[in-house]
Formats: sequence, structure tokens, C-alpha cells
Amino acid sequence: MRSPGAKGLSVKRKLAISRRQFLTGAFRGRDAAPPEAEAPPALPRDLARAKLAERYCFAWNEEPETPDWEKGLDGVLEEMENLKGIEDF
Amino acid sequence: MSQTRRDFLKNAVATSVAGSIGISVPVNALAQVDEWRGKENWKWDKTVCRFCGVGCGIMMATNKGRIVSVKGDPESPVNRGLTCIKGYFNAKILYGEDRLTKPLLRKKNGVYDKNGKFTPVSWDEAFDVMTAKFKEYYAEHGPASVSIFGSGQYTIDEGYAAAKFMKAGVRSNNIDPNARHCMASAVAGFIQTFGIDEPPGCYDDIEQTDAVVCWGANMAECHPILWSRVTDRKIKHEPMQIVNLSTYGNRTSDIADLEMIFEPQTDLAIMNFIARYMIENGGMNQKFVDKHCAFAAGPTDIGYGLPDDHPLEQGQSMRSKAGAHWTITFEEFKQNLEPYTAKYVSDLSGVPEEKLVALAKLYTDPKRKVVSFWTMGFNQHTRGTWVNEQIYMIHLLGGKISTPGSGAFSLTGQPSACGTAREVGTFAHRLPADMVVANPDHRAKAEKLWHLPSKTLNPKVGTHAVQMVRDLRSGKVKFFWAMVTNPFQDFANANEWLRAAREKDNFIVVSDCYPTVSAKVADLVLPVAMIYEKWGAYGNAERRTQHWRQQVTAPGDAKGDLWQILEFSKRFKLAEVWKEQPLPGLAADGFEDGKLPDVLAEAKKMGYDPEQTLYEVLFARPEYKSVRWPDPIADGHPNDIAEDFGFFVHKALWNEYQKFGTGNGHDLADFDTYHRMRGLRWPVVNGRETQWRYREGYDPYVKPGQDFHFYGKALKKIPAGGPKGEPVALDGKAKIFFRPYAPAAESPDAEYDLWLCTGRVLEHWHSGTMTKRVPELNRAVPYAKCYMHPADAEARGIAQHEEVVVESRRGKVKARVETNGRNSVPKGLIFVPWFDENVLINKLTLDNTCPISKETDYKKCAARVRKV
Repeated sequence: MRSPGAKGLSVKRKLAISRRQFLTGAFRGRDAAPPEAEAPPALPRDLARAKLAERYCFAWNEEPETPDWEKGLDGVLEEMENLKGIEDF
Repeated sequence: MSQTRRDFLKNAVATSVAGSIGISVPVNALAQVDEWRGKENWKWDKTVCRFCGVGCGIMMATNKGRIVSVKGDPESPVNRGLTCIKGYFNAKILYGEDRLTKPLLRKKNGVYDKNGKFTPVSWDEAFDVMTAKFKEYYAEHGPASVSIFGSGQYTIDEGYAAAKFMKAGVRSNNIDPNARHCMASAVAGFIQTFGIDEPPGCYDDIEQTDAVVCWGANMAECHPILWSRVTDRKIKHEPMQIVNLSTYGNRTSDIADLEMIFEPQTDLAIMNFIARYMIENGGMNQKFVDKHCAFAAGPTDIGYGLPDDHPLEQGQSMRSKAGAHWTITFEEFKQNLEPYTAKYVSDLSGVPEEKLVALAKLYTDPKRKVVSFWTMGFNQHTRGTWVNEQIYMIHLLGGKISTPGSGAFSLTGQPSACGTAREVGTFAHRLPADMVVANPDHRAKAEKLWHLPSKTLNPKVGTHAVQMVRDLRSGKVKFFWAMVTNPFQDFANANEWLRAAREKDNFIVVSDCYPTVSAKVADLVLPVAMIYEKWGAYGNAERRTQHWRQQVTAPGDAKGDLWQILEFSKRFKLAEVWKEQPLPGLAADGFEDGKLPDVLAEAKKMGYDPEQTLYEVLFARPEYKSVRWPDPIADGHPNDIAEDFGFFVHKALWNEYQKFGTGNGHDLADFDTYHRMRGLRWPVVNGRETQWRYREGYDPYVKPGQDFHFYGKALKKIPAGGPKGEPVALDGKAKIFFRPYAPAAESPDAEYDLWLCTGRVLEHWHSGTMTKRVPELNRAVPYAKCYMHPADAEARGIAQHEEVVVESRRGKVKARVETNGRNSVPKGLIFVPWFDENVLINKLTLDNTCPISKETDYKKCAARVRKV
């Protein structure tokens, strides 16, 4: 159940951060994010239900392209002989 | 439409990253996909994510034989429309430019030669050579000389077919999955504690809990969608607390209320402190413990799973009985905990006493619901089984288990580590539905369901994964077939096995989709169809089984792993495999020592002909072939394997597999039901799934009035009071183990002065075979870095991003140093992800294992860093 007054609060305001001096990951990019007033609520489930997922598509070109793999056998054989990273065992 | 496709993809990546880690995204940057051409022709279908064990549902659109779109499935109860950054690129993993499309065989002068060059060959030639090598070794050395190294990424039907081919067909138990590297300790912990595998609870605990404690689980990067649910709960539920216990700071700490960075291996001591604190401060649920639990302990001198001649194994008298255990009294249990005071554990672990107490209070508070999550920090541990048992110790003491919002939950790293590796039983000791090869009743049941003559199944446990490559080195294993995994990048102490593959008399087959490290050191490479190019099913971490349909056709000559197993089985006659077979070391009731009996006479009585193939006897049985293809459940989707074999192979296999679990706590639904649902959590009884096992009102196996009932049957009769005590039955009870602290096998010293910890990053999955082929993911994290504390770097004169040599007693790699970034490692420890084959970090790691589970500890060994 949502606690009173929690609606609309951002992660930034709400949560205790254990090591502010070492902010990493999710919070590193927040300065670059749009102002909170312009952003949708940062609640994953709500984002999904607000049809955000619908917009995550690749939208490959409709016309079939020549698949990359059909061009690649010579390249694959060359790569198979490339032992970079494993050669010094 | 002013936006270019390139702009769209760039924006999609940015927003995907943001979404995956639960932060705000700029709406105006999102592409207007509706305006892209041809959407009206797209065919959408539900599928499952290819990557981790969370088991997110995804929706996939196809058009003209190509996947054109991927999005999270809003109807999926797991991810509710979200996916992480990897999930959005599920389609692109299929389309890498170096996709393997033809079998490649090492040849010289037109014939197979171990020192030859890879040459494209036909499937017939590939199978001819593969069969000849298999039979050569099999005839000379018997079933123990051949092996399959399988996977927690096998689909359920693939794993089932592979296990049936090996165990029922060629009578070898030398099949073990890469799940040995990730989940074996969890399995051993479950079996020893509850007598049955897999978690009591489910993901729904997250929305009902008051606290999440992560033990060695960087959920923010490795299980990001579940982490979104945890974050959501944190925001919405005022009392919610998050604790992150780890050996280095990571993204999971970012929203933690309490971060505890501890000295590697001291989690054992921390948990004993918590148990001690709970008992001293009224945190023990006496009524629950008295009614539903028994106390237990086991030997301590069990070694480190290293080879027999390793110095650390000398004097470890209980190595061969590491899993033995017996009951103890509560008083003995309490006495054993006595040394684990706050001061002692603080000194040992480096965690301040007040933090230890704060954590213990969470578990002690009877009103607080707590979920503990863990992954590889626990499982990849030389005492992996013990730490798993210790977390149950804490939850069982408090009665915080099998209850909505409270539970101990083992997260999985692979999409079907549970569904395939564990439930199907692709381990060297297992049969389907938690049965084991060493148990005569279990073998009899499997022989009946598989229509085998009595004593066809081999009672001797096969070689576990780590032993498999050691046997490759020693020459005991001659034939090694890796499927859906990349062992020569994955195994610790990799140089040893790379050498064994290339320099010993053996034959290495690798079924793979791209030129991986393993493919490069193979003798024969078989190109595989990938996940959406075949029908399949996975089982995720919360016991949810999910099926999907084939979406597109595999490129070139690539074929599914199931197709490869069935085709290979056509090349074996019963007369070759069901005759008497040598099996050194076999000693079991009803079997002559060192031999598997000839079962051809009984087979003949059952109507079999010795000239029949394993394909006919194991897979193309009349009841299989009666499962027709096409089937309405396909809804227009292709099935290349069914077309090739002339019947609906996947459904036929499922129908047989389903029988193993019915009535014994592993009940599954029928094939078609799964295609109509977003998965179901077993046991599925009378059409209803089970969210919380062992709990009255939720679990159909618990009768009214029982409240809780831990009905697992394995290891429930153990000696009382000591190793030689009279056996006592613990029916319906869970065990609370006492396990002591034990130091790591290898710790930093004057020569190698740093702990080396390996792991994953959000953008790449496992060895990077698939995610490194996705340009956006590859650009995001193009190479593995060596995360290091700034003071450690400065002391060595190393600048940020400078290339260095990282080395251990076993090998060395070059990597760039990162002193900032997403992880903040403590002094004295470095963290290097293992996805990058050019920073093949497993050359450095030590192949020490938990002696009970045989799972490798990838989290601790000694290393050093120097300038190039």
C-alpha cells in the first residue's frame, strides 16, 4: 500500500543514499536528466502501464535486408583462427 | 517523419538504459514507432527474455521472416511491461555479422585432423566424424569417457532430450550443466535443509515485505527488473529498508539504507552473529522452531574441492563425506554460536559493530517481514552450501519463511537454471523431478517412464563439471560436447582446460551461435538455432515455467540443439550401447562391480530389436509420433524441428516429462496451457499455481491444520547426535544448520596482495557471446575494466584508465584500470567482469569449489596488479 504523501516523490527526494560522495549508477545521470517537474513519475510499474513499453521498439526496416550472416563465412573462418586473448595459455 | 532510424535507435538505447535502472526518461526523446512502415503487418507474440533467471516476458513482432520489434510484455506478472537494457535487444542477438551458419571441422588434407584448420562441412560429414570419435572412445573406455557439458540455458526440451540420450541411451551420467557454476550451492542448500529443491516463496514477496537484504547479489545490475520492483516498494512503503552486503560497493548500494562491505568469506561469521543476536534478544520464534524444525551440524574438515594432491586438501579427513550431517540439540547449537560476538565478527569482517546490530535487528523484529536475496556471492563460495544453509538458519529461527513478504530467496543467473538444469535433472547425479541416479527406486521410476529394461540406468554419479575438465586434462574424458554454453571462457583456471582441449587426445564438440573462445578451441563446431528460432520453455527463479513459439527461421544451416541431439541419436544402435559396459569404480547393490550389465535380452522381451536406433527407442516412439504437427496451438508459427522429424517433438517430450513431477510436489500443467498463460509456478495442481510452498492455504501439499509442512523427502533420515548416531526421521521438518566460519582457500599475501573478485555488468550477459554482438551494448561497455581503489592505484603509480597486467599464480591478462565508475571497491580488492574474452579473467581464478555442491568460488583468489 502506498504510504501517505509518497505519490509523486522522486527517488532523489525520498530515499536515503548511503554514500553520497560515491554516487554511481542510477544517480550518476540525474544531473543530466530533465527537471523533475517535466519527467513522468519514476515508478517503473507506472511507467510501463503508461504505455512506455509500447515505444520501445527496434523498428527494423520493413524491407528484408540481405542478412549479414550470408556475407560472413570467410570472416568467420578468419575470426575462428584469431586467438587474441586466449593464445598465451 | 523527421527522425532517422539511427536517431531512433540512439534514443531507444538512452531511454532503455534509463528505464532499466528506474530513473526518469524524457518523453519527447522517444521514437514514434507507429509511424514506421508496415506496422499493420507485424505479427506479435509473447516470448521470454533470453538472459538472466528473472524470466521477464517480452512481446516480439515479426514481419517477413525477421524480428522487427521487441517490448516488455505488460501482461507478464514478472516484469509488467519493463525489460532491462539487455532485454530490449533480444532480437539483435540473432543478427550478429559473424553468426555461425555451417558446421566447421578441423581438417588437413581433406580429412579431420586435430591440428587442422576449420573447414565448412555438411551436417552428414560433421555427424560422421563426431559419431566415429564418440564410438572410438566409448568402445575402448566405456561410458565414463564421454561427456556433455550442458546448460541452464538449454530449453527444457533440449535438456530433457540431452539427459535422456546420455543417461538412458549411452548409459553415461557424465552430463553436467554450467548451472554447476551458478546454482549448485543453492541446490545443495535447499536439498539439505528442506529435502526438495527451489525457493519456497516467489517474487510477490517483494510487494509485501518490509525489508530486502541482498547478500552477495548486485541486483541493480544483475537482476535489474526485480530491482525495479524493490525500488518501487521502497518508494511506496515507508517502513521498507534495504541492506546491501557485499565485498565491494556497487549500484545496489545506491538506494540502500545500510551498506555493509565485508572482508571476503566472512559472511559465514556475520550470519552466525545474527543467529546469536536473535536468540539472545527474543528473535527466535520458539513455537515455529519446535514444531517445524530440527537442528543439525556436519563435519568441518572438508577441504576446498581442489585436486587430491593440492596442499590445501591434505589432512582434510572428511573431504569425501562433506555432505554428511546429523542432528544436534538446541543447546549445542547455541553453544556453537557463542564465539560469534559482535566484536569478534566486526574484527573479522571489518563491518562496524553498530551495522551488524542494525542488520540483526531487522531479522529479530517479529513484526518486520524480511526477504533475503542472494546470488553468486553466496553460491560461488568454497562454503557455498553452508552459507545457503545459514540464511535458512536465520529465517527459520525467526519463522520468517514461506509467508507472504518473508522468505529466503535464491536468485538464479540463467534463464532456465531452475527449469532445465535442476527440474529436468541435467546434473551428473540427477534425474527429472528431484530424483537421483544413486537411488534404486528413482531409477526404477525413470526406467518405467522411459520404457527401459531394468538396470539400463547407471547408478554411479557422473563427473561434475569441474571434474569433467580435470578429467579432460588427465585423459579420462575423451569426448566433450558443450551445448549452449562457453566453458573455455567460463571455467576457473582456464589455461589448464584450454591446454587440455588443444593438446590432449580428445574430441571437443561445441554447439554455438558465434565464434566464442570455446568454438575456437573445439575440433568440431555445430551452428545452432537461437532462442526465437525454435520452440522452447524456460523455468525461472520463482518456479515459473514459461513456453514460447518459434518466431523466425535460423540462418543458413544452423539447427536447434534438440535437432542435433535427436539426429546424433539416430547413429547409435541398441546393440552398441545396451550391451555390457565397463564402468570403473561402479559399486552398487544389484550391480557387478565395475560393470553395467547387458540389458539387450530384457530389451528384446520388451519388443525392442538390437538393430533399432536410440532415436527410435528414446524419441520416435509411437506415442511421440502420435503428437501431430501442425497443431492449432502454433497459431501460424513455424516449427522447423517438427517439420524435419514429422511430429510435434516439443509437445511429445513435454507430455512425457510432465509425468515425472505429477503427485510429488513438482506438478506441471499441460503443454497447451502454458502457451495460453504467462507462465505458471509449480506445483500446478488442479489448474492452480503455487506462490508459497510449505504453507497451509497456499500449497496444495499442505493439509488443513498443518500450518507449515516441509514435505521434501530427501535426506530426512539422518544420524541423531553425531555422525555415528542412530538414524532419526525428520518428516515434515526443515533443518537449522550450524555452520562455522572457515577462511578462504587462497587469500592475499606478500606476493599476490589483492583479492580478485569477478562478476557481471548490466550491459553484458555471461561470456558476452550474445550481448557483445549488439552494437549498442558493445559500445556501452566495450571491454572489461579492472575496478580498483584509487589509493591502491596510486600506490602502484597507476593512472585512471591505464592498461595494466593483472596476474595470479595461474595466469595473467591485460586490462584498463577504473578507479571510479559504477563500483567502488575497497582497498585491497579488485573487481574484473568476465564477459570479455579479450580480458579472459578466468585464466587467473582458482578452481576451488564448495566440497558439497562442487560449485566454483569465482569471488576470491589472490592476484596482483602492475604496470605494463
